[in-house]
Amino acid sequence: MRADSSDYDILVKPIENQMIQSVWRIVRDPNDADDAFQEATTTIWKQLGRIRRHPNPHALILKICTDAAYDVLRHRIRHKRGQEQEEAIAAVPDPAPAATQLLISRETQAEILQAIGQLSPKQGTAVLMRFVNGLSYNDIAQSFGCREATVRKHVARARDRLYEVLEHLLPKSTKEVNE
Amino acid sequence: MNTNKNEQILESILKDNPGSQVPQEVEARLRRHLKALRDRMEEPKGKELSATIRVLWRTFMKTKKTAFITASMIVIVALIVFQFIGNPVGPGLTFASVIEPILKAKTAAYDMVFGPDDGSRQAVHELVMNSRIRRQVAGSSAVTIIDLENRRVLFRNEANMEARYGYIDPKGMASGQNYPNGMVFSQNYLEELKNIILSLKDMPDFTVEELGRKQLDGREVIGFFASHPKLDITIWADVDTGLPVRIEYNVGTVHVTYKNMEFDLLMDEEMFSMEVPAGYMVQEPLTMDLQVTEENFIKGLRLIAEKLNHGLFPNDVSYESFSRWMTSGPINSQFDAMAKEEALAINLELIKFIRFTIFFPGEGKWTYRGNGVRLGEAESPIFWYKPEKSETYRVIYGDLHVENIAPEKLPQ
Repeated sequence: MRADSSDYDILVKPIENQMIQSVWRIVRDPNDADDAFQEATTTIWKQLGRIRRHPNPHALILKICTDAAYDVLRHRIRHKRGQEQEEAIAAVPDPAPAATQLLISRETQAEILQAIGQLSPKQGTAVLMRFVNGLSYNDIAQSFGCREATVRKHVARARDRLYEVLEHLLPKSTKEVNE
Repeated sequence: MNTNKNEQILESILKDNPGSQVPQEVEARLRRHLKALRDRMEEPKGKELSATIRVLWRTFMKTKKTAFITASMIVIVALIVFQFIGNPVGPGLTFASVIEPILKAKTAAYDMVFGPDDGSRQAVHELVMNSRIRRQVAGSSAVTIIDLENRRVLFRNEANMEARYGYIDPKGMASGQNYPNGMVFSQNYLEELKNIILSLKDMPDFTVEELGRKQLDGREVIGFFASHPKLDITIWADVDTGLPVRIEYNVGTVHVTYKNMEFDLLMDEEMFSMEVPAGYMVQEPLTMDLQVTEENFIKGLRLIAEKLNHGLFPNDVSYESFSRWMTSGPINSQFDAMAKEEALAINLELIKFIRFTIFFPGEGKWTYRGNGVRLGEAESPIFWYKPEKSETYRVIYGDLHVENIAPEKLPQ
């Protein structure tokens, strides 16, 4: 397999920021992000031929990044590293929010990530690509190699499951609308 | 249900939370990986090999320790090929197409785990290039290069700069009695694979069950369980690439897993060199007899009782138990107390010993009753089995004499 010098500019460069964000927003830990991103870039290199031939290479690359981050997340949950995660999140400087808001967000965030990590792999990847990466259902379907309706089902099931687990986080008005 | 509203809320929670913004130092770290990716993708053609070697090297560096010589997974994969040809697996993917790249592969890389793959076992990492195998062990300094064509092995210990050649007894090269259809593994895994496929064309005994799809190491895979009277195999193939990535099967009492499988990687021939590097001290060569014989098994039983177990036979002779026992503290201490050459000689004999139950050459199952029996107890049957096409059983007693016994007269 031979990579042309323009491959990077065409396939990777336009979505560099999305790749970084997609991994970070899932793992929220500097070392885990480093591990997941290394795994993702290695996979991209190994699967370059397939990526070149893919109808939607950008979506496929973002799926590779999401998969790598999701693997790390699930591994972390399996090993009950909740406490370590909290500490890691706390160690990351965040210039924006007030202290109280940050505290609430950390708890919320850890809870959401834990809930997502407990979804089935397909549901987890689909919901992360939809809500974290902001990909369209069509893009996700192409990266999965399945029909758009299938992805919608994965996301819908994931969303329902997340609502059950995270109901207390939803605004009251929304809960009432749902009911 | 107000789906749009709910999606917005979930998106908002995930995306806009404080902490979702990538910290600068993290972004800098991740961009280094992007730069490395770019460098790789833009490397001139002549440098591709080094890039691939880097990938392989990283794989090596995740490894720990080595174990016994065993049959190639490629041979095992071959067993099920013809059951699947034309069997549709998924859109545009058939098992025949999954196997095809293996048939055409010039090189292969994989990790092997003997026993349950639950993280408690050490993985053996192998590269195969034509008739040569490199068995690399990270975490230990042992490297083994096997030249099947010339039946030579080079053991290299990079820590103490020692090397030793081994010569494989040709009789043992055809000792795969446990495999169906008289299959053996010998000189060249990839070439042999093609021969095996041709010879297996008419095998009717496999049954196949599709296991569906799942996520494995971040990729979607599809699985099959293929069974034969002598061998059960589970194979998982990447749905996207169509390549097998994980194979599991049982040989006798041993569960073997091949994982992280890759094919047709570029490999540097230097990695398979049989030359001893400069500065190494070359030890006396070994002759390696890989035959699976009752004689070797009995010799091993005697060695264990006399040298390692205070006159008693081992508690169990299955690979699982035996390998645990052999790596236990008391046994390690006994080996440490021996002269180096004596310890090596005993180890080699015990490899031949345990190969008898791993690659069991008889029919059906063997029975072991040696737990608690002392060497010399002539009335105590400790092991029995039925040789191929025999009407009687071979029964080994505590003094290690052997009798042929009719099935109805076997010990209870």
